Amino acid sequence: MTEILSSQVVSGLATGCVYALIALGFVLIFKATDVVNFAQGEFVMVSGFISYTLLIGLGIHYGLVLLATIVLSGVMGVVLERVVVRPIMDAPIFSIVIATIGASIVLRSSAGILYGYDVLPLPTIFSKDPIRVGFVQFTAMDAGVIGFSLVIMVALYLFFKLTRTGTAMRATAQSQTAARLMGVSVTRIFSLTWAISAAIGGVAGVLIAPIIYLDPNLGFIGVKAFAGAILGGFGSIPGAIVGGMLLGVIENLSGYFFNAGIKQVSTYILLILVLVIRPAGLFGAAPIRKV
Amino acid sequence: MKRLLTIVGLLVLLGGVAVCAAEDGVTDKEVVIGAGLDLTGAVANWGVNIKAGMDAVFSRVNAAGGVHGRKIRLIAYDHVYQPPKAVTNAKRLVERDKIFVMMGHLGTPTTKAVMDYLQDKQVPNIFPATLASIWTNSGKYHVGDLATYADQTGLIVDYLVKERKIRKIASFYQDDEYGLDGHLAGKARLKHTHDLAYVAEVDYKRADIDFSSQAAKLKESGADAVIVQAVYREPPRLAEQCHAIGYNPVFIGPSPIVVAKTIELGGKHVEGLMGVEVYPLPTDPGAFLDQYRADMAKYAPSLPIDTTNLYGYQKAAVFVEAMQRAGRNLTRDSVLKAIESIKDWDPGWGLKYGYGGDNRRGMSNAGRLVTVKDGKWIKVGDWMELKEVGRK
Amino acid sequence: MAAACLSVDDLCVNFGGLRAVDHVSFAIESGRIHGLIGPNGAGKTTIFNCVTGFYRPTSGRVRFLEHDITGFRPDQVAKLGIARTFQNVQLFASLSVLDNVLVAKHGHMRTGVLAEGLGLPFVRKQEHAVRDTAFGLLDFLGLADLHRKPAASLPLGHQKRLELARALALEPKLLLLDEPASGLNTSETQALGEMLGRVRERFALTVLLVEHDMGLVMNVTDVITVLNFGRKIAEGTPKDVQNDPEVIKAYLGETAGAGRG
Repeated sequence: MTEILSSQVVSGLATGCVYALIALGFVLIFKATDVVNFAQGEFVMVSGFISYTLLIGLGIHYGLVLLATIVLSGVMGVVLERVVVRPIMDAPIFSIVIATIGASIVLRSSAGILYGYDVLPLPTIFSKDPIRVGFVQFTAMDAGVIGFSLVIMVALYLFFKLTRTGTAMRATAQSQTAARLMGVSVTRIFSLTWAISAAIGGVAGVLIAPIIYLDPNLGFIGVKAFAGAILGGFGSIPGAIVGGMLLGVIENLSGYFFNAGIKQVSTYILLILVLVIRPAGLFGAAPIRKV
Repeated sequence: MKRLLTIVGLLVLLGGVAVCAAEDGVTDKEVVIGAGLDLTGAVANWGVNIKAGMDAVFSRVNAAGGVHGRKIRLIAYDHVYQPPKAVTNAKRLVERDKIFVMMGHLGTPTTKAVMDYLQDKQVPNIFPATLASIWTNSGKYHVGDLATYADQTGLIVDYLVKERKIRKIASFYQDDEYGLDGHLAGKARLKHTHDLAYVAEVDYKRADIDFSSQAAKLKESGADAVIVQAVYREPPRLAEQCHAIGYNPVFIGPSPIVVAKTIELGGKHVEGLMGVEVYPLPTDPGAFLDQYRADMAKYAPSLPIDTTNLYGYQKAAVFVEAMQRAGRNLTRDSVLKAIESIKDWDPGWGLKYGYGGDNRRGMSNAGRLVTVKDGKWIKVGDWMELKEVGRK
Repeated sequence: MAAACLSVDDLCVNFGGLRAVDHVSFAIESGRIHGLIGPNGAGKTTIFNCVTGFYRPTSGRVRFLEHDITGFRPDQVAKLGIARTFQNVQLFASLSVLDNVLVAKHGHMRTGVLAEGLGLPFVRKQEHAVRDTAFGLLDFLGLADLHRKPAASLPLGHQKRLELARALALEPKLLLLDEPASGLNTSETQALGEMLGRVRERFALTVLLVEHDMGLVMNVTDVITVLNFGRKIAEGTPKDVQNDPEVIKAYLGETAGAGRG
């Protein structure tokens, strides 16, 4: 029982880490620009196809592919911001959010046109064979996903805490007006935020696509991650991480203790419960307010 | 003047009757048939290939002048494996595109959703791409073709219990009309024939992508074999997640899993996976299969030959045979009668189709076991006549 | 006469049909503390926003030293050497006191994200120097002990000082202060006045001050420009302005605004 339960928690954590990465992308963009980017899940999908093309189509080494995918995802984020968001930056936030939904549909359809709607297997360096540590049983894939996600999260933390660009980004999230006056180019910060969010989404894509297979609908995983971000308190970075991870574990355990139907809705039941008890989410401060 | 008006009136009336008598979708030069398929969703691999297989047959027939001078035009819409969308598409096909018949409609839950509507409109539902037992006994408008999931599961259960001497059998099933067909039939077969019961019944939802909790439950049940009432995405993922927790039962399932995609996705994790097939493998010998391979190479060169497109191909081939038999006077009734006239007919691959009476199933209810070996589906047993297995 | 540090020529700003600033011109000499006063709605803050790039004037020019900065973006204006504080303090609330100042310092440095990420030696060296300067500033304004605290946790008086420190960190040639005394009590206001004197001495600054506290304005400014309904109505030394009949009329005509609300 404990053996099975513990492996359920580990594999839930692995999925949860991926949710957390995507949720982070949502929160970063929201904090910096007040925009909820509904194309966040599409970063995951597109990066999956990018790495598929590089790996299978061009036969490039896995490590290089990983790096290239992250960079190209970042570039995609910048392009999306320039093309979709910036031209309507003065429009009401709601219009911008709708524009991101439009972008996600375009990206999904483009992937469908280019690659078809069939599921594709994406290779990975992590083995899916079981490993045993004590009574916990998991795979190298699980461990790899968790490890890699944690590395990305720590790197992000250090970046925001220690670097001047990171500090400038935090400052911009607090007050765009004041940041501008400090000589911070807010447009540059916006681009950078989109780049980072997309790059994290890219990491999530490379990690999750080999597990749940690659197809143009992969981006719908963003919906779950979004729920994770709200669970943690939308706008809170630790909230996004904890919310995402919690979601992965809860999903697994509810599937184990109940059935597939409950598993499917457990996310939303949990979300509603948390929002009733703590409307701002687990880590959310005061109600969200526009600076 | 008055007489003239009467004559004109009569002519209009007669004309009206004549128009009413002609079937939707049939003109002197063309027959329009419709299909609701999943082209972009969870089982798109099936949808895209079934369409390609049907198109290959129709393209060849049309190139040779059509059937009794009529070219066949196939209109296919994407229902994304979602029942509500399937209904919308069916209405569009029947009411706007005026199709003659629905053919190869993909998916059990999706086809069940359009079943009553087609019945009301008296549009035949020919050879839907679902082998649920419902299509063998739902009246003249619903014409199933091959051995049902229920009967296939009967074969699976008998094989596991009798030949493999496995008594701990679990069921992993899609929680809808598709998964339940085989799941319930297996349960009935275990109980009535072998005095056994599933040691675990674990469900999943269409388009689910994570089965770790299902894997845990199956492992805990201690089942030595798991019957997977699933499609091609789930068996690889389930096998992987079972292997991840050190659990290696026999995985076996009905025909929808017997697809190249299953192997492409699962790699080494699906080695040893077993399935039931209800028509020959695309690589088997036979004149009909030679024709199939030639047509696919000509009309769908980008798609490799696979059980999925062969499935659509054989449906279209039998339908063309029925239209040939119906003759120049093509109506929905005449084509349904023509299908019933097919008895002991072998298109050229060693298996015979036969229809008649209430039993709308074709192909003499044949089935055989296959397994994945070295990354390929290979046959394990010989063709056999499957027994009728009820769901109760 | 010293060279003009900032000159505003024939500035007009319309908001829809409303003319908020109406053909206003004035110039600030380098090294002076220049007051900009007037009743509420006179257009003071609007002029501030034009100078700092938040608004684009409808017509007219803004010149800063040798640059025509009309229509520049705020970050470009800041880089040229104009810093400002806000009527309602605009700090980076959850950043630490030190980080607030560092953000300003960083705007001045030209390093790429990549060089930074790699932790190149020249970047590190620069970083050390920047931290030293930031601490120096906090020390000067009596905030050094609080450098780890989140800005939002400070009392208002300290927050205003921190905003000043942050503005000074930009090493500006021109400092724009928007009602620095608002919300402060009498003794705090007095301390602020002294502070402004010291700041000017130490940093050799030119200051443009918008303020409702007449005591403070009269004490610290060299020249005052008076606005009413978007128009310039007077300009001169504090003494001249105090005795100007137009000014008296403007303030007495609007008693509620005169004492500052």
